[in-house]
Amino acid sequence: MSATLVPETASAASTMRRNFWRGVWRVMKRKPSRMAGVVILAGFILMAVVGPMLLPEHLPGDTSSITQPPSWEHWFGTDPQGRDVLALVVKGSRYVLLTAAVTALITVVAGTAIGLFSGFKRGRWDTVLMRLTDMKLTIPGLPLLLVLATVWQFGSPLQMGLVLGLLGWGGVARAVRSQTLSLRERGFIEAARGLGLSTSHIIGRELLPSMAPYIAMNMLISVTGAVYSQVGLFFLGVLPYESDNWGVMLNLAVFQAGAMVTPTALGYLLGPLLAILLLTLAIVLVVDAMDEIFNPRLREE
Amino acid sequence: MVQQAPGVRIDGLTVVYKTPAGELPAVRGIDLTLEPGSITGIVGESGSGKSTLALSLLNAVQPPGRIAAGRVEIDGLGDVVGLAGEQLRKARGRHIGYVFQAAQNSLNPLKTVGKQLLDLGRSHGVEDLRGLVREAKDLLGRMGLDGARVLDSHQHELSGGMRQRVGIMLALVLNAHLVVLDEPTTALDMITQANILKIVREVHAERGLTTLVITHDIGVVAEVADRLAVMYGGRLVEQGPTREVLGAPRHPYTKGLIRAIPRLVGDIDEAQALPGRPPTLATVPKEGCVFRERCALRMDVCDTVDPQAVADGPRTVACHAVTVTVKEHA
Repeated sequence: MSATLVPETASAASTMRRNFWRGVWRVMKRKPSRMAGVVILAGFILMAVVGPMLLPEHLPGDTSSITQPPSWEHWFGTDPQGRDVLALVVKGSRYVLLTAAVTALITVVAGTAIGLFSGFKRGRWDTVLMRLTDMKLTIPGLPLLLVLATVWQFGSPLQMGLVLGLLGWGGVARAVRSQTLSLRERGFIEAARGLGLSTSHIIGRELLPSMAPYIAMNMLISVTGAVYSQVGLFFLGVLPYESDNWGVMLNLAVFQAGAMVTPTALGYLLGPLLAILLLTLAIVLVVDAMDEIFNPRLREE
Repeated sequence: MVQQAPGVRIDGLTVVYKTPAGELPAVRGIDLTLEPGSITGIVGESGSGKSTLALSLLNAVQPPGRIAAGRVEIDGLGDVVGLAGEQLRKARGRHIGYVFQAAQNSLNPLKTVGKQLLDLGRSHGVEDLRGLVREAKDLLGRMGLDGARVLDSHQHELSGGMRQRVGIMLALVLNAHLVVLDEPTTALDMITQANILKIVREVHAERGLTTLVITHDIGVVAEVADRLAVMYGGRLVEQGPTREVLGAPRHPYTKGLIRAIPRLVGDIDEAQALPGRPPTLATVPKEGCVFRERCALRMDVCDTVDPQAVADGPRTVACHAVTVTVKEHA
């Protein structure tokens, strides 16, 4: 009897895991737009990881062709130093995406941890942590970043990501806390407690998965937020121009190459703008799939 | 391992809830004994403290509530009120099986039943998970379900009656011998109700359990319980063997409850609702009898003196009017 049950339970676990990925695949297949989103996102990640390795440390400038409009040789034209805009976009993507990833990670990890703890413990800890969160939420991000920019150069994407992440977890913490407060009163959490399941199990295996789509969505949205803020900061020109960043490109395109008035510099402006647009689009498309991936009920059919 | 059905002795149990108006008792001075191997039913209106009483068997009263006084002695476990942390967690599920109110909602919507069963087993350090699955399948089969299919299902793939049975299975699968069913048949249709009650009775007899059934439906109690306890305003007003209490109720509240049930035969107007409303946490009288506002037999003494539960053979009643007549007859 028990011998026949061995493969049965083992396969039960593996079918469940297989079902999850098959479910993901089905969710993706249902709307081609989601597939496109994933492909674009993967493309960006590949570009950020591999791209800069294929390009020389200092891009060669061709002084005979400065600020050229898009052509077959230079798809998005060249900058005032005669460098290829597309290559600059590729080089800049590493800074942008690394910052975004670090920001998203810090935002989600800190926000979720504080929100969960606060909502589950309630009482005194909740009050303290939430007042702290409120205080943090009242800090205006952009002015603070401008002030910090005078002190730090934000030469490293990790530094930038850290600052943006520490500025961004408040909203997530609040949202996760309210979700926790509502979920912890649900029947299945009460039942889990009554059946003697451990607290770590309840938090990690019952509460967290119920919030997974929510958290995943927040993570992706904070990626776009991080992209906008860093590009914005560089664009404003409050940070040094040494970094390879799309924001630096935008700034130079507008203020140095004069993209607003000279049509030949339009490619220089469009390159990074198009990259940001595509990245945002990809994230929106992937977010669309999140809910269905995590909800077994929607995953069916 | 053959486990004996445990007896439970609840002694002077008081549970209070912290409110802006101070700590108010939801359950006050309850004395109740669950004999080993018996089915005891607790009936009462919404807010009479039934569920709070049941939760204190697990020492699971959630803040802002707390057990303020009393003991809950369970054979083989000791005083539950004194347990805490890991000890308490291990006792839940293994010694005391609890089927929650609205068990239809007590399954995790994201996991299959089988996954939740394995979670339960791991949490309690069960080594033989395969045996656990087998046991669960047996139990489900016993309750007329296809075990393999149910274990592979998500909550939304099961009907209300099936979920209720899954809840009972989860409460029993770790071999708990004290089972608390909180409103086991609420929100189920009549036929499913009858089925669940039949299952409760059969499983009770087969496994040698001590069972506590909480309900607001006297019909349910009449169906399954050996003993019946009636709660009102956080107090136990009357208890005794089900047949005797239902056949010859003594406390005016019990009488009123039974009079309020419409009969299948005879005039529908014979059923009379109790006048007034049940007290809430804030309006329950601090001294004197909790029921006096709605009582037909109200006397002066009821305003000031809390009636003591007086035992008369297997029955106890807490009412001044009843005590007086008993004394007169004696």
